[in-house]
Amino acid sequence: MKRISLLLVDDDFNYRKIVQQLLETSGFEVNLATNGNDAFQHIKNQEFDIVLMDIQMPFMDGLTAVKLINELDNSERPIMVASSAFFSEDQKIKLKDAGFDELLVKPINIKEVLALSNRAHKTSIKKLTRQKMAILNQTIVQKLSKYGGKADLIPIYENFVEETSFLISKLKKVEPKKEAIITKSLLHTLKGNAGSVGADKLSSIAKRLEITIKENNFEDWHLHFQELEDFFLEFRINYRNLLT
Amino acid sequence: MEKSKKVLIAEDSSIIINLTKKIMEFEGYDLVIARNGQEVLDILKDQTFDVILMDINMPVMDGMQCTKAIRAHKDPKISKIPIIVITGNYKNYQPEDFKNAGVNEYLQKPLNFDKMVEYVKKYVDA
Repeated sequence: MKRISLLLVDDDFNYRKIVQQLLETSGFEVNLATNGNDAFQHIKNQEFDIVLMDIQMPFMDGLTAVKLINELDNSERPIMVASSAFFSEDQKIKLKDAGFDELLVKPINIKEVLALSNRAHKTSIKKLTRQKMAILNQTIVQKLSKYGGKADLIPIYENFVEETSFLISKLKKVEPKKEAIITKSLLHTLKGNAGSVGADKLSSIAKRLEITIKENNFEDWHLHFQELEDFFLEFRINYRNLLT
Repeated sequence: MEKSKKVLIAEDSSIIINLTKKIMEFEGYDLVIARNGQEVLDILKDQTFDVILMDINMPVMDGMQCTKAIRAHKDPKISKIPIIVITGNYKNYQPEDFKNAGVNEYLQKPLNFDKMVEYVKKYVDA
């Protein structure tokens, strides 16, 4: 089997040394970079399966770096993993928005890195497409605000949040495999609602879950469902600001 | 003053209802709400409308069944009401299926509300 290539990005020399050793013992091919800019140069010239990147670094931090990396025209984009001793809820959203696929808390657990590498390319490409989708599609907001102004839309979006909470709570109670029809119908409603108000990311993940059921492939159900909840949280936090 | 034109919407999603209500009222139409096909038939017992917006995927009686029931109605004031369906294509209906059922226009989800207004105007002002 091909060795998994990993780029370890951290400004701490000792940390790099220890983690490199750990990863190499587990079979990874490890390259090193010391800051965001250094990582960016590496990624421009070489393909990696995984980039494991510290957030706070001199010269260029992880947040800036991941944005640059995502702009590269690279279909075989690596899985971008942010690592830090602590992530606040706010930071989690910011990092995911900027284009990180996963967040790992330091100290790094090799098992978690291995688990990531198992679903390497497939997921990362899917995520790249989704990353470009808006939390709230402003073109749709503009269209809707023609009918009486933006401020009038707030109660409609509040109602959308309420209804979506309700749909998600119902979805949590059903068994997608055994109760496929009801699950599909709930997702269908969620998808249509979200799409109509311009909640593009939510709509796209509801669609993906719907496909999971149609294809009778429940392997990634929990992963996608977690994303649905993450996207919804992201939406709830941001929609008011995006409406003003 | 001229009486407002009446639009009936059959839809089980409160989001779509609220948005449609806001938009139709802005456009100066009177909007009546039904939550499923059966409610539509009940409302039509004593009211008539200039146009009906009909979701396809609804509980109790879906939009296709309801459209067929309206088209088969003995009162021509009811059987001839223009029907615009709203479809997320849950059941994979083809444009032909809608035409055969007597649907005048169809709107796909996610809804383009400008298109909805355009279609409603087309039939209401006809």
